[in-house]
Amino acid sequence: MSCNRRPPRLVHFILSVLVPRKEREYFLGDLEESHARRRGERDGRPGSRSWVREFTGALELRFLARGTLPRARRDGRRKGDNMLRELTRDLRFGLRMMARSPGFTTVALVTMALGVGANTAMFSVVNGVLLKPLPYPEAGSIVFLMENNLSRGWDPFTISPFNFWDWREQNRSLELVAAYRTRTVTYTGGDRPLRLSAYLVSEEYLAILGGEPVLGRGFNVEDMDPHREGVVLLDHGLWQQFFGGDPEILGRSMVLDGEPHTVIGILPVGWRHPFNRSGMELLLPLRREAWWGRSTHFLWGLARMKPGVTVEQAQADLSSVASVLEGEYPETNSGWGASVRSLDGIMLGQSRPQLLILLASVGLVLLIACVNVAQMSLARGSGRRHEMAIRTALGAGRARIVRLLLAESILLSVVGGALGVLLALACLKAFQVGWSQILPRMEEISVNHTVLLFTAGLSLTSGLLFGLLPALSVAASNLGEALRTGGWSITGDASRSRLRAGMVVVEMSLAVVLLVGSGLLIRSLVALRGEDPGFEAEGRLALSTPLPRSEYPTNEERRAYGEAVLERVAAVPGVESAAITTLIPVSGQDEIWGLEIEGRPQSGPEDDIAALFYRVSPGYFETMGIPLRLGREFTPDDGEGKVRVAVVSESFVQAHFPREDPVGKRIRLTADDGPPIEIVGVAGDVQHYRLGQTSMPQLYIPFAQRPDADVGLVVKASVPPLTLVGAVRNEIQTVDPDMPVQGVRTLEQIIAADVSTPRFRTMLLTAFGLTALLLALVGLYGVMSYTVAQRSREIGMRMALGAPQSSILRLVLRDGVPMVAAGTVVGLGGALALTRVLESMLFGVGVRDPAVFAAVPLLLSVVAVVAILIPAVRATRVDPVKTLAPE
Amino acid sequence: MGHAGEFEMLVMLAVLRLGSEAYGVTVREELEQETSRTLTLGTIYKTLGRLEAKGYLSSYTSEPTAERGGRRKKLYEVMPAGLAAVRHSLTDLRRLARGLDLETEAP
Repeated sequence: MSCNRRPPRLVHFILSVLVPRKEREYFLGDLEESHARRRGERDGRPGSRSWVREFTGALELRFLARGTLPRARRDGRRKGDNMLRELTRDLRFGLRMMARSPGFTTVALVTMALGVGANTAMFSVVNGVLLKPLPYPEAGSIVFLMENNLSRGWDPFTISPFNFWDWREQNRSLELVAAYRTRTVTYTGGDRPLRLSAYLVSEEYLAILGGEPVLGRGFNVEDMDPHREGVVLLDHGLWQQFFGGDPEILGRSMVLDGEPHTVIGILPVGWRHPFNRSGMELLLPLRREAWWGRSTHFLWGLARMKPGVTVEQAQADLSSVASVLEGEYPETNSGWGASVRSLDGIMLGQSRPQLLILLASVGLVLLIACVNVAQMSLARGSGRRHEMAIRTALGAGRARIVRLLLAESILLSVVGGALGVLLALACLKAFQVGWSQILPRMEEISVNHTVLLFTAGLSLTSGLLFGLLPALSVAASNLGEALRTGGWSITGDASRSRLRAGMVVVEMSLAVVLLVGSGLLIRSLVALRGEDPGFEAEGRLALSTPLPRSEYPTNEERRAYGEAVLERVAAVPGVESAAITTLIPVSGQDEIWGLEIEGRPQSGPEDDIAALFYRVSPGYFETMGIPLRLGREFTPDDGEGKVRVAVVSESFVQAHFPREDPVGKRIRLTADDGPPIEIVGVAGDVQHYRLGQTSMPQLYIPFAQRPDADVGLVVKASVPPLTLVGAVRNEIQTVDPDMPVQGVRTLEQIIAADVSTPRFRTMLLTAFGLTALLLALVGLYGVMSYTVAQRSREIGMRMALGAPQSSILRLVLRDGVPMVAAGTVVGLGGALALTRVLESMLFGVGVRDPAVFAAVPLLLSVVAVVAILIPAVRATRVDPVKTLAPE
Repeated sequence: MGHAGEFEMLVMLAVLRLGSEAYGVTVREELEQETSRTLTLGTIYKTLGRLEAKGYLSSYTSEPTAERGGRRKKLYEVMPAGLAAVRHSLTDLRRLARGLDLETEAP
């Protein structure tokens, strides 16, 4: 959180320019003094709004004091008065010109609104997500702690509580260290049972994240005692929604997972855990449990560094602590290291390069828009040479004419910019509705004054950019000649037509760069969607019914629940088959167990084998459409008290039984002292974490032999799966009326959500690429129409002399094709150099993918030839007599 | 006899109350506190300048202080003409208000 000692330098500078020189010293002195005083008074920042106010006050002082000052003081300002008056006159003239050519004005305004609007929207995203500091005090000194085990390729990994305590004791670089883990809890006592996300946190957690409760207190050391009654902190939204913001809430009891918890505090409005995107959370104390050990990893760490310590120093410090622990506890700790990352680095991750690439792309679109409007003004400027010549003859200087034309283009860009802001607001609304899960901090995006300042600057710069060239070109032309000939020239000024051709080349090449970029992203999205997840998604429904541990404490109860639910759900009409599973692929859950293979003694921890641990009911493979490669799947006979069995995945076999038949081999779970488990089958691989990412081998165990509380259900339906939701929920709640049903989605939806981030960036970049193409084509078309119009007499003459239409078309094509070709070549060169930045976002396609590099020029030439030929064909249809007739 | 507008009156009264400590910051604070409006320094400067031009106020500069980034202050005091204008306006106000019951709600 920034706490400026002095007014922002920019504000200071603007104010000092605005205030009349005589008063400047006193004014700035007063400004600084009152700033200092206010800060002292309420320890708050005066905030940017008060700067805006001071700014308007200074404006008033500069411009409005005039009328009330005595005459003697006003005389000194004569010159300024004139300037102001002339500016008003220029602007009024600009408005009249805009109104007089509505066609040009509309096209130019739409172009600018598109360019500026897209930039404003993109910049507000970048501003909200990347530029604004994180909403925690001194967020720069907060770091995220993890463990890793590089020798096994586990990076990052959760922290073991014993290691965490040692880190906390032995480090020298951290001021506060906190641990937390996440859990979902069932809240009963409202209208219906509800699953809420809870964070189990140690007592330093809130101090690090600055979450000072607005009501009640935070956690202290006593709250961490497992023998005390439960306590809970609610976030502000939860308090409002469930308790109507009742100020008497403290001390009330809330039943969570069947246990009473006393509410001890309310978190401030808008405060939330850094990685919580859905809002609504509660905090519980992190209490020690019996099963915790040095080899159980499940905690995440947050810490505040001591002043002046860098992330690198903290990393070095914790690494040395970790290596001491490695020496002390070789059995559990060999290979385990510490990982320290800055909080914003972790939170933003891949978003940073992605957003910057999108911002750069949208900048290119604006550049094309500017070139386009410049081109149109240039073409129009040629038509207005007559008007300008008359103005010059009447005594207007060249500077005056340039200013006149500039005022016109700046007016265009400012109005276009204002329209752009409206467009951006509409775009952002769409972003927020559709893509709130994709970007971190999406809720902090808004069109605020920083964004508006950016847009204002952007509009003015664009106005100058597209206004200056045509203005200079018109003003520089030989006016005497323009007056005499009245437009009787063959092809117009050679240097100006070169300028126009150059602009088309620039536009074309920028469009090619963007199109190649979006082509690559589209190809990789297609590849990603074509990726076989290992199961069949179509017509499947998934949901989970996590059993409250207090209601279902034993395996018998969990098994009975599973059997009852399966039996009822399978009988629902439209359900082909149903199965229980504790993990649903691609949905983000995991459970990993260590194991060993019988007859293979372990020589050290590096021989550890780990696998994703699925507990499933008979019929799971059939329901999910996962092929069975060898052996058999589970049957109802694989129950409690029978031989313990397992099915493993193909990748498990490749890793551990490369040349053997795995069926009949026996394994043993590391954290389990029961009888060994016999492998009875091999199933196809499933992409567990995300599509296109190789995942750990899978191990399946019958749910009945090892029940768990995290019960999920998959249903294969013969009707559209979402139509079954109501009936399935009914059946579940017939078994247990208090059972919450959550995460109801089709497997297709789960897969679609997985590719939503690549889809987001692909859609945006493609939209930019197509806009660029459209703008470039409009530019090409404009130039070709202009050239053809200039040559209409020549064309008329040729046709009168009997030239066939095809020769005329050839003539025009000869003018246009070189521009397109040059633009394409330059653009492809640029793309070769630039697409490397996309490398990390591509899947299954190289940065120099020949198909994309061939398709883009092809697409471009086809549409470009159309843009060239339309004006050409039109020219050949005109009656030659008309074009040849004297004026 | 000169006249002063409402806001000019308020500013002059503030300068009178502040005695030898009347400059931009203090005048603004005094007015914001007593009249509960929000004012910008620009507005204050504009009015002070106008009153000085009318001959109601005069100004002198102080030594620079560190609190102000080493800049000087422009301090104001009320001139006899200003005092007369304040009195005049106040008299007018009292005369016009006489006989009106302004304390209770208007009918």
